[in-house]
Amino acid sequence: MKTFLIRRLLAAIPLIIAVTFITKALLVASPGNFLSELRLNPSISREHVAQMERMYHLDSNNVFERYWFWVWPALQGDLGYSLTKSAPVSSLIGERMPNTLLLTGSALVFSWAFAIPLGVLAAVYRNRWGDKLIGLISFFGLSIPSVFFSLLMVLFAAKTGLFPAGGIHDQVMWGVMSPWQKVVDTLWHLVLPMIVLGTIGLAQYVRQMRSEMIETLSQDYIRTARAKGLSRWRVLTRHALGNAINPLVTIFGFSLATLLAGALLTEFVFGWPGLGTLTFDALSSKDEPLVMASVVMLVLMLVIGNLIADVMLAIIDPRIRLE
Amino acid sequence: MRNIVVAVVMTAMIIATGCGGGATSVASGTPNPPFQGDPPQDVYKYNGETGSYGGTLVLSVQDDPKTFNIIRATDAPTADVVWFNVFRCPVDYRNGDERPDFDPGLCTKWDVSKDATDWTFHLRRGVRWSDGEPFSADDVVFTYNVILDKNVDTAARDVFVEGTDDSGATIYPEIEKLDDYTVRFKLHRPNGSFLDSIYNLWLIPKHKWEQPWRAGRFADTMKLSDDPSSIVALGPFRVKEYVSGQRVVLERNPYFWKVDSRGQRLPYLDRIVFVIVKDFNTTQSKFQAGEIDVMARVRPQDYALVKRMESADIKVDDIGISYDTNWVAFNQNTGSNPKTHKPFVEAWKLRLFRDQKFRQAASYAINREALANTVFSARAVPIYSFVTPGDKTWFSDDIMKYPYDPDRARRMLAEIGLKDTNGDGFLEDSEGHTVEISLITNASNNQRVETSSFVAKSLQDVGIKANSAPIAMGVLVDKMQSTFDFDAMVLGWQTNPPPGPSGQKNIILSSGLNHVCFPSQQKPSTDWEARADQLMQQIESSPDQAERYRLFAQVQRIWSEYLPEINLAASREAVAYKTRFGNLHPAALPPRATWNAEEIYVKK
Repeated sequence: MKTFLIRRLLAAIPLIIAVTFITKALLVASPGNFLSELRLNPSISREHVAQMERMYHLDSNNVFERYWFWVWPALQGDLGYSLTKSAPVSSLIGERMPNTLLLTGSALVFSWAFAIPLGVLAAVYRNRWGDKLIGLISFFGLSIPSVFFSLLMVLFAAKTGLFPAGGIHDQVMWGVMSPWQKVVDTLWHLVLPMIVLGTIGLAQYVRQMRSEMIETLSQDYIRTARAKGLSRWRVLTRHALGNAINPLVTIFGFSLATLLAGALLTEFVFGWPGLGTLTFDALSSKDEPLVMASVVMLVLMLVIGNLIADVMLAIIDPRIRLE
Repeated sequence: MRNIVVAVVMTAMIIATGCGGGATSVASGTPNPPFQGDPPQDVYKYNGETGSYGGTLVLSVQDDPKTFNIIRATDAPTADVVWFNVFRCPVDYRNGDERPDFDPGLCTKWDVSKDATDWTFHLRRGVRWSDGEPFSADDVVFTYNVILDKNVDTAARDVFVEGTDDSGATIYPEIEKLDDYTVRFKLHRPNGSFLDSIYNLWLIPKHKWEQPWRAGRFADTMKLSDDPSSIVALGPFRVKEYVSGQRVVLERNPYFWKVDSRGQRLPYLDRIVFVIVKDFNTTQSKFQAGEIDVMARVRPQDYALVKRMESADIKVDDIGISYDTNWVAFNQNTGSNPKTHKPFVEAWKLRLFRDQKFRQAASYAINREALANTVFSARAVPIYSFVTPGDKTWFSDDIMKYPYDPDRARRMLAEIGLKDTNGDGFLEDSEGHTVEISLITNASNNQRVETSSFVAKSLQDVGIKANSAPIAMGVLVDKMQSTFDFDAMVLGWQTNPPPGPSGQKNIILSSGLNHVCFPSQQKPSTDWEARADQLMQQIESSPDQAERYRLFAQVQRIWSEYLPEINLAASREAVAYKTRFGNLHPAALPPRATWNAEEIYVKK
């Protein structure tokens, strides 16, 4: 197990190098830099822009040179300074990371908590009205664009006043809240974005769970178990579920990627101060150090997500050994 | 299963109602945080409507500020949050007044010598910085020296440029401290608009920043991540808290130097909270839900919807016509690429673009009323020069106008020898080139893209094969300022206070970087550009406002006749706000809602 983990983490290093190099190359190759906007400002001279270009090493178009300027300090643990936010990149990411983890984590819990029982139900009552209703819900979740769903939810919040219209905290009262009130306030703000983000995953998992369950239920050993007189419930939970859930755990690793991508739009509409909006801003303003660091973080999250999926698989399925 | 969903939602709701929310703020009557020290000997007396203490004003800002270092800041969110509210210049600008103008602010008065080369500012005695330290002429001199320091990256330096000396070095006005409360700027040549420059001198305290500046570490000061109490300034509020991606909280500066007519010290409000909301729809929802108090900009397309929110508590006001322009400009650059020696614009096209008649025909071909009605949802007016009717100080109506007249446009195009010789519906020149041009614009701005399509369609109607081609902003700027390889572009300019000739220099002067039709010229390539350059020079050296207006009106006249930019429309600006705030008079110029932050109060 230990060697497996170490090996997997070591394998992530070339991956990170490749991804960051490609990112840097694309940043250099695409026209304009973070000073483009300044250059359009009538009150800013070109001398000023040139001065800043030199200051931030943006005056060279050599990819290797530019990559070196980033990677050498990065290897020593210095991810640099955000060009647009004039703050250390590491502290910016450190501030946003917990928010994104909170949102994606709760969305994951939400979608799994509902997807597994719903998928099982749909499989057991195959082609009956319950299955059809669940199918309808999951198609809704699959087909609704998350931006639109987010906007609907924000509108719902604004019209009814039941939930806050976006944000992560009450911005006015936060300073005077007790720790308990803070927890409640955050959870209250979390409900809508969690539902939006969780629904995307929920829909996929329900479809997956249903088909795996149907497949498993038609296996011989299930019939044997039933023939031996075990109750239906026991067969479902002890014999079928463990086998049917395997592929779901495998897609968990990959689903992190879609989840993080979906989080970007949801975060944007809900004004959720997470890594997604930070990365998006950095990209659109071409804040290179911040883009690079965000990319590293996203790759790391994916690697770790897949690792967790592998470990979980080994725990659930005794046939799988990690070596 | 659905029961569980309902249960979860219900629990959340119960918790929610228990914890309350929204921006509830009432005038408590007592200032919290309280004032400290005494008001200055030379106190500024505010004579408008008086209010009472307490309460919080909640605003939204579109993005995180990028720094609190006002000297280095160039982004709009920083300006929205800290201009006026936190930092002040030696003079104020009341941009929400009926006729916006300068106001003494931190000075008791200023004197100008007859030839407009000596500007003397008499500072108020007894004013204190937000940390309680006394403010004096040394701080003004210090701030000016920081701005002039070539090692400091600041855009403010450029507004003080007077030209170059014999050796080609840039020259700036000299500053002199006459006594502890008097400073004099000695200019090398007359400048009647020098207050416009002074308005970029956001004051910073010498006692805080002299050491870091001398050590070459000025760029490290007043960062977002610094302790907010180190952001020492002279505005009515000081920074209390900044949380990335969430909010900036400002609280009363206890040493602020103004009192009202009843002798109460200002500001009235305890706090101003800027909530960071990137998405415009969410801003609107938050306003509707009562989480923010002011929507400082209601977009034209949202106006009808927002107007319906009006009630006893909410008011949606028209605040006049925007100062911001938008335009389509043809590339008149006669240069060629230094590497490939290819001209930036093909010879036959350049001939057309440099022909005044061609540009005028294009202007007649555009139905500005229809553009205002569609793209701007009937919330805009046609404009024909770079000064909009919204600018009551500088706008001149004595300009050439182009009412929609496609027949006239077709006639004019025929007069310059364009005919549809091959019967494809589009015009050809005498050499047989089909007049096909590509209109570039900023792809990430919907309004621009729609404007560009509208213009393309209008030009097609008179036989010019125009294609709208939205591209990334970065590429657009490259094309405008360094590679010059485009036919025509649709874009707009934003105006910062104070409006007028000084802020427009880069656009009008033929040497300007934003003189889009032919930027950065060594020598003006046409007579009209030379005349405009000369007029701008005269405006700067004239101390008399009426004379300057007359000259600037001539520049607008030339602009409308020669069309370096074909100006299109200016939107009508609207603002939505809660009626429980007094003295809230949002203006069309930034910072729109808080230019008089110290005067705003919560009604009882």
